Amino acid sequence: MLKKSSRRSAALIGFVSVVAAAIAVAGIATAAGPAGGSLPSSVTVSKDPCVLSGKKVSGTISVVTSGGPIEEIMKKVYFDPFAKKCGVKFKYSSPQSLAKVQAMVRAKRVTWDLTDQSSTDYWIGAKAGLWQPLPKGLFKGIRMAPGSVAKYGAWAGPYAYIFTWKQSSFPNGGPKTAADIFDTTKYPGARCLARSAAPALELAMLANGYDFRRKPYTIDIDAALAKLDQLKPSVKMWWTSGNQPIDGLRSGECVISQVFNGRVFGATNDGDKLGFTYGASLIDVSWYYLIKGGPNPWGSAALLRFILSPQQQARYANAFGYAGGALDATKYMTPAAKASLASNPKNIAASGGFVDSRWWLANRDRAERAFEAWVQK
Amino acid sequence: MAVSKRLRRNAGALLAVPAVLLVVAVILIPMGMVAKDALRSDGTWSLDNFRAVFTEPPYSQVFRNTIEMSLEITILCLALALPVALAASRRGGRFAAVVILLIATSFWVSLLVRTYGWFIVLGHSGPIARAGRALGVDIELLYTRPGTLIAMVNVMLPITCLPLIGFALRAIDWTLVDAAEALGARRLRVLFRVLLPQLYPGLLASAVLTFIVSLGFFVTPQLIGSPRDTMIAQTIYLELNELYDTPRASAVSLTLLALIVVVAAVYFAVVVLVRRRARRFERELTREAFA
Repeated sequence: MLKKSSRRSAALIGFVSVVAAAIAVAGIATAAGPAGGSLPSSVTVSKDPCVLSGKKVSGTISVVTSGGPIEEIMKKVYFDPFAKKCGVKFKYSSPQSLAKVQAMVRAKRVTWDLTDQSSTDYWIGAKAGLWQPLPKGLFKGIRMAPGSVAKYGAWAGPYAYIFTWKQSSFPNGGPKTAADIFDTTKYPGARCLARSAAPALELAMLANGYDFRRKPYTIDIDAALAKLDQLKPSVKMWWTSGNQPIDGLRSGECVISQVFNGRVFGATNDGDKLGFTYGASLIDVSWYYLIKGGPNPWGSAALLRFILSPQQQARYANAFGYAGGALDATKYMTPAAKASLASNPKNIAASGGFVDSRWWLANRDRAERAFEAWVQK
Repeated sequence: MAVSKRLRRNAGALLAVPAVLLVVAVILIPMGMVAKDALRSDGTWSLDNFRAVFTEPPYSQVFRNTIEMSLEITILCLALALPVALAASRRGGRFAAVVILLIATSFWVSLLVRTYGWFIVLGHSGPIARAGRALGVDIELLYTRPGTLIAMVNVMLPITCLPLIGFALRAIDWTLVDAAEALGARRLRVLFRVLLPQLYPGLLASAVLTFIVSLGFFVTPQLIGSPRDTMIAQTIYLELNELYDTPRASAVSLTLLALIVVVAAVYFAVVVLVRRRARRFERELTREAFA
């Protein structure tokens, strides 16, 4: 039993602590607020990338990347040159997370300016008011691919989960279609697939003969999972990190790997002799978004224009094999980089078509959870 | 006068305010927010998220996995830690210090580095698989349950070992072992009737600690394990970072927390019961001695 005095002091401590903590939390919540002034609905641009509507950008721009080698390249081709030219500073965070953006917007304390996210996030963010509408005229003077600039964002890059293998594994030519990926007698060997609902279910839909080019994008989850049952015994690894499938090819763990298309470009640059096909894949796009209420809206808008300029896009593509919508960027690209772009007409023609992220907006939870339950069995 | 006297008496207690404040601010308030999140669904209060966690795939499956794997880790860790603790306690001194230092060294290497190390060791071109191929057997450990367990036991072993060694050094009275041996007890009998009863509170504490910490594994099963070895932290990550379903993620987290609280409560109940029984036994002994 506690003594009376110590019981009283315990109560006192409790009371003081709760009050002080409440004050601290309230203080944190109110101290934040949008700064730097919001963007107008349209801007004028000039030759100087540091000036928007006659206003010179300044301060610190807070960008989010996936970190690692990609952030290093982005620094080299986008952020460092922009910092040098315009006298701004950069703050880096990684990895991208829509959950964090949502939490920031909900808490009215947004510390990020620019991020790249999936195409489904376009609709989620548009609905939840996470994205800053891009001012009209921001990309004036840059020839952009049709559809690559929208109200709430601009293409960071089209991409696909393509299939790749060592050329030595299939000297007479590797698989070309989704049905070939399922054909383990004609193309024997361990498969390494992404542990993600979209690429797996799309592969199964293509193997089931669904024509995404002629019919509206949809996925029959049960039928797709039933089809994947056939492939499952041959799947050696369900990868969760983008370097695993290429490492798996190198170590011999995997014979056919499902990878982000840029990884094939990277591995080929490193000397690997790989074959690949777009024939068992759909093409999706990741987008750049300005986050609403971010600390430096003017700076990040000017930065986005700089990033999407043809020269910068080409430098990025030459390093990673991805590029956004600036059409003239191809003029400055190496032939290998050009060949690796998911938006290359040859690759688009070979692919099964395009992802419609509105289906995912409506069905993502259901599909992702069903896939998880299936893959864990 | 009275006020200053009371103040003086309470001044010591006030020293605890910063720590309590920290706990309230960084644990209790955020936990309250998580709980509130979990109980919201489509803008109203409801238990839907918890209902889903208990009835819908993949959660029950993942919880079963998590408990199963944590138990396996705990048993393996105890089996490995017990001989080490006994040896350290028997030899004592410099030997025990070196053992503790060696175990602690592996504790200082980052979890991620160790996991990637296992990645190489267990992988297709690693030493184990290569040795297996040379002998004509296929030993594939990467992306399997045994491989995942090996890596996780390696991570958890210091957490099992260090408290157990500490306890063994303090608690084992080796003169009892000598006495038992002098009276003709065989080795196994000494282990089960003399050593383990002395060590058992330490074993229990280490087991509970290992089990509870194991429940939160993320990196190792994510990288080394197959989807069949999915643990609950991975599901929380999926809900939060892929599906952006914070309420569902909160409900899963709180269910995990409840599991941990239950395990801890059972542990404390056992400790209290045993202590009470021991005291009663002692009283009876004294009564008999004086009867």
